[in-house]
Amino acid sequence: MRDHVEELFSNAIKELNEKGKILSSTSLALIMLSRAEELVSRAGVNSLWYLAEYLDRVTKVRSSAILLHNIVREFLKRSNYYLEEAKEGNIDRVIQEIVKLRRKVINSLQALSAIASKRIENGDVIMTHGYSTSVFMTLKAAIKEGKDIKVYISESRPFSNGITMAENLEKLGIEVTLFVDSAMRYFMKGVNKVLLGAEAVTANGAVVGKVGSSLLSLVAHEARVRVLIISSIMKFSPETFFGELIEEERTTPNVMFSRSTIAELRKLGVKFYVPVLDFTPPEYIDLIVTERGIIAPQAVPFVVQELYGWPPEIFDVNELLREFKLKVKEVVMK
Amino acid sequence: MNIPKEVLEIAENIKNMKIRGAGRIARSAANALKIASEKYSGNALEEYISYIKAVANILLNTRPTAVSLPNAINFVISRLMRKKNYISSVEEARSIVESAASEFITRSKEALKLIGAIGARRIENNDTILTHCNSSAALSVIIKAYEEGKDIRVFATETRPKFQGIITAKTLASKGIDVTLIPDSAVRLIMKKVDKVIVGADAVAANGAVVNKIGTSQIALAAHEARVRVFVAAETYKFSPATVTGELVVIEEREPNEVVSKTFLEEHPKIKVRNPAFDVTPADYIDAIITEKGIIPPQAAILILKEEYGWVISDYLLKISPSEEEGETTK
Repeated sequence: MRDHVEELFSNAIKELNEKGKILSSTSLALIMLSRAEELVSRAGVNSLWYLAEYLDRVTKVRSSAILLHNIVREFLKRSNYYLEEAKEGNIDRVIQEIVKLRRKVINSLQALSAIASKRIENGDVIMTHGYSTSVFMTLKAAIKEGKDIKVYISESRPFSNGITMAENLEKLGIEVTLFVDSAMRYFMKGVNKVLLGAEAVTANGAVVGKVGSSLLSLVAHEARVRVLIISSIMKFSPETFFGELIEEERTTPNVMFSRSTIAELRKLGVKFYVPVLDFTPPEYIDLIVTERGIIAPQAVPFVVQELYGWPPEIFDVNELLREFKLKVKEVVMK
Repeated sequence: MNIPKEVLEIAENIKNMKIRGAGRIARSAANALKIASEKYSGNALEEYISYIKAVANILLNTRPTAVSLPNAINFVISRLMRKKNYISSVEEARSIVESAASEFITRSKEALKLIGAIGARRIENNDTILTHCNSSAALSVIIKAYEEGKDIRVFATETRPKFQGIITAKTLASKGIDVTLIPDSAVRLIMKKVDKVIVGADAVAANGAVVNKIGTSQIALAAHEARVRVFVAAETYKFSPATVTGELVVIEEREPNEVVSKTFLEEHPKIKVRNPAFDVTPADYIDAIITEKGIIPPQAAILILKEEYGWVISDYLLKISPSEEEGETTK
């Protein structure tokens, strides 16, 4: 039994290390919830300790992905409710909680893509950057509605996940044009909308996105092309209301160059700076499409007030994790 | 007379980018003309002239955007054509072509040094510089500033699809300069830490717009947004006289397999991959152009053009303006 949990756990961690930074935060959230369900339903009460550890790692690998933090927070906040029964060896409620959260993510995706696709018109030429699940679902919905659209996409270095986006859009039958990140401004003249996902939305309406997003928004702004952010309200960051800064994430140059090239350059003294995210100021964003409707970026506080009260009542994820681990210890010991 | 193998090789290498960078292309083209002239074995002047013109045409057709190429060739050919009626032997013609080609190469190398010396004065101690692609002229400025003892840091973009940024990083690092490679997508993020942007040019148009490696225009835009100065380092032979008379600079689009692999292209027939090699930065985003003749605001490009290529421009205007009689009748 124990071996089985360990195997599930180590596979989940391996997957996290490989794709944790690359995937869209929504994909990562859905994977996290699937792995959590798998772990608990297959290994029962014993798995809870590993579950806590797994959730901890997920939030650390993507410290800026607010969606993951908010989901983990929501899950942990209800631990008193489901751990009570777990003490008796019944983990059904734990699984129910996980399934409920997954449904919430999927429902929000459906709702926001249904709203966002209304803003896409027949004949639109859209530019996007990186791989956003929300943008993909929006384009998919627009196609389903019979709209004829063209998509321009930059390869989106350092992870080149624009290429994955292009492949998935090709499957939908969309005419896709792929180009290097440097060519955003070159192609902007022929574009009439920019669609971007978000890693996080902050108190002042700034959007944290895949590095290059702020450049694309600037280029769109210059050309008077509208910029639409497609983001669930679960990505709104309540912490930023108290002045918390979103951490600047970096990755290794290994995702950009071959090991031999890096070694050769390092030997000469060349350094590397490989950021993962950047920040788009609200003035370059025309609107944010959420599952609750469309808002201006400056209206983010309204949504946060609705979700978390005013001033926002927030629970520290790390604090919750620590408490959770203590409670789980009791349960497992029993 | 067949075109010599060495000359065809140079043309091929310019085309496939083994020889790249506007300056190197120009010098190689001049050198190719010189080699062609030296290898000419005939004795007839008319034949020699049409042979040299044929070589010039082959070279002209290798890359469409870099104006340094036609300017280098014009530098040589125009000297031959202006004296055509006053010479009688192949020997004389040869000496004109070969010395003009050598003169161009020498001048071009001197221009680089002058640009370095002039541009370095604009670099201050503790400056952080952002550069894009691999420009000899821009590097000349950065290296000279460093050699003058200024403490500088450089961010170099990787420059997709062909990674010329790696060459830039190597060149600077081997001189001892602090250099950091960044992805092209990070230029706006990094701009807060940058004091000056220095790039090269493939062509400078009559209105001061600069044609350079794809990505330059969005770097200039991001710099403009952050109130960071943008300097373009460009020899005067990169100014395009044809743009004075309305010609547009053709932006070359290269093979998609420079961006993604051939297999990817085969597996995804519906994904269109486009690979423009250059873009156009409007003069509004450029603070100054550093030339070997001095620093000018981009809007003064016409000054350089009139002075350096006045004769080319008037030749062209002569060709397109109606004759006086016709002018009378249309009045």
